Amino acid sequence: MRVASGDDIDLLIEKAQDGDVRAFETLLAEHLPRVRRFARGFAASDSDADDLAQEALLKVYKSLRLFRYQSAFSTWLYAVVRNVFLDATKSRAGRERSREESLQPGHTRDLAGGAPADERLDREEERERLWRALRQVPSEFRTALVLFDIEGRTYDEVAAIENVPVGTVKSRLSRGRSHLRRLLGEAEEGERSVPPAEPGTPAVLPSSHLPRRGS
Amino acid sequence: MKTTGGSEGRDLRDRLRELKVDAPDEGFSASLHRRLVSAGAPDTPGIWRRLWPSLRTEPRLLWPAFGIAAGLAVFLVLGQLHDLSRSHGGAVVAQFPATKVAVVRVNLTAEVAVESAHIRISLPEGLYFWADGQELPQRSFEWSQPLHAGDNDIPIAVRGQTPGRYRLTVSTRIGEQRIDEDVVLEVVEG
Repeated sequence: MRVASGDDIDLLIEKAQDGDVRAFETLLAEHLPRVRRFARGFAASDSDADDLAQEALLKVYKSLRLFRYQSAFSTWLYAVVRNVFLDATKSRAGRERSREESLQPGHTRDLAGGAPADERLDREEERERLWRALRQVPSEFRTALVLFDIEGRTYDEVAAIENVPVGTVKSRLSRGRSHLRRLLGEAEEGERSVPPAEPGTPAVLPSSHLPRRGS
Repeated sequence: MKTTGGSEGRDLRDRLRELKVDAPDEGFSASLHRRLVSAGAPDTPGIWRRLWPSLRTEPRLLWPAFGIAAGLAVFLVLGQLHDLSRSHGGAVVAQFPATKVAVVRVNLTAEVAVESAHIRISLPEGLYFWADGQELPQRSFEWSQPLHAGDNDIPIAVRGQTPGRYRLTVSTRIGEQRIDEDVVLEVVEG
C-alpha cells in the first residue's frame, strides 16, 4: 500500500468514488495506524478497536460520494470516523466493546507484587493504563485529547474535524486533561493503598485503579 | 511522582505522546480489504443528500452573499393530525432578486421525535433548486428522515430567473398522517 501525495489525492478520490477499492486503500494508507489508534479510545481490546476502526473506514468508503472537496480529505475522513466512534459509544455493541476486561489473576499478581519485568513490558503496561483512563474521560473531551495530544494535530485541525470553534477545542482539552489527571491520580493513590499480594492469592483490582509500575 | 502545575501538564502530555505507537498490521489491511470489496461501491447520494452537505458547509457564503432567507414553518402535531392542507393564501413570504440564490429554511416542528418522516418539496416552473453552483433539473425532492422533538431546520437553496410569484410546496407524511404546506416566494428584478 503506497501513500498518496499531492495531486494524486484528487485522482484517487475520484477513482475511489467510482468504487476502486485499491484507490481508496492508497488514500487510507497513511491514516490506517492513526484511525486504529483513535479507535483504542473507544474499545477496550485491540481486536474490538480494530473492528470498530474497520466499521468506521467502511462508513467512510460508503459515504465517499458525499465528499465535496470543501475541506481536506483527511479532515473529512476523521470527522466521519469520529462520528462513527461517538455513535458507537451510544449503542449496546459499543458499550460492550468499551467494557473493560478484568485483569487475569496472574497478571494482577505480577503488577501488585512488583515482579521484575523488562522495560518493553513496563511501557506497554503504562500505555494500557493510560488508554483505560482515557476511555473513562467523557467522549467529547476524549476525541480532542486523542487528536491533539496523541496525534499531534493542530487546534485548527481538531476544530475542523469536530466542527466547533478553536476556543471550544481548547476548553475541551483543558477539561479533558483535568479529568484524565484526576483518574490517573486516583489510580496511583490506589496503587499506594494496595498491599502486595501473597503468593497464590489473586489480587482483584478495579480496572480504573490499576497501579502504575515503577513509580 | 509528585509534580504540580505546568510541569504536571507537560508530564501528562509527554505520557500521552507515548501512546503514538503504530500497531503491527497483523492482518488488519487484508481484513479491511475483504470488507471493502464485499461492501460494494460507495453509495449514490440521493438528490437531497447532494444538496444538504453543500448547504451545511457553506452557510457563511450563502447567507451574507444574498441576504435573503424565507422562513417556512410546518408544524406537526402528532396524534391530532389528519390529512391536512394549508396555504398561506397567496401572501408573499419572501422576496429575492432574480439571478440570486435564496436559502429557504423549512422548519419542521414536531412535538415528539419521529423515527421516519417522508418529506417532499416541490417547485413550480420558473424556480430552480440550486447546488454546486448550478441549477438542478429536478422539480422536486423527496426523502425520508427522522425528526427530533422540536425544530428540524431544513435549508434549501433556490433561484428564480424571471420575476414573478411562485408557490413552493412542502408535503410531510408520517405514517398515514400528512401535511401539505404552500408558501409563496416572489422573485423581483435585480
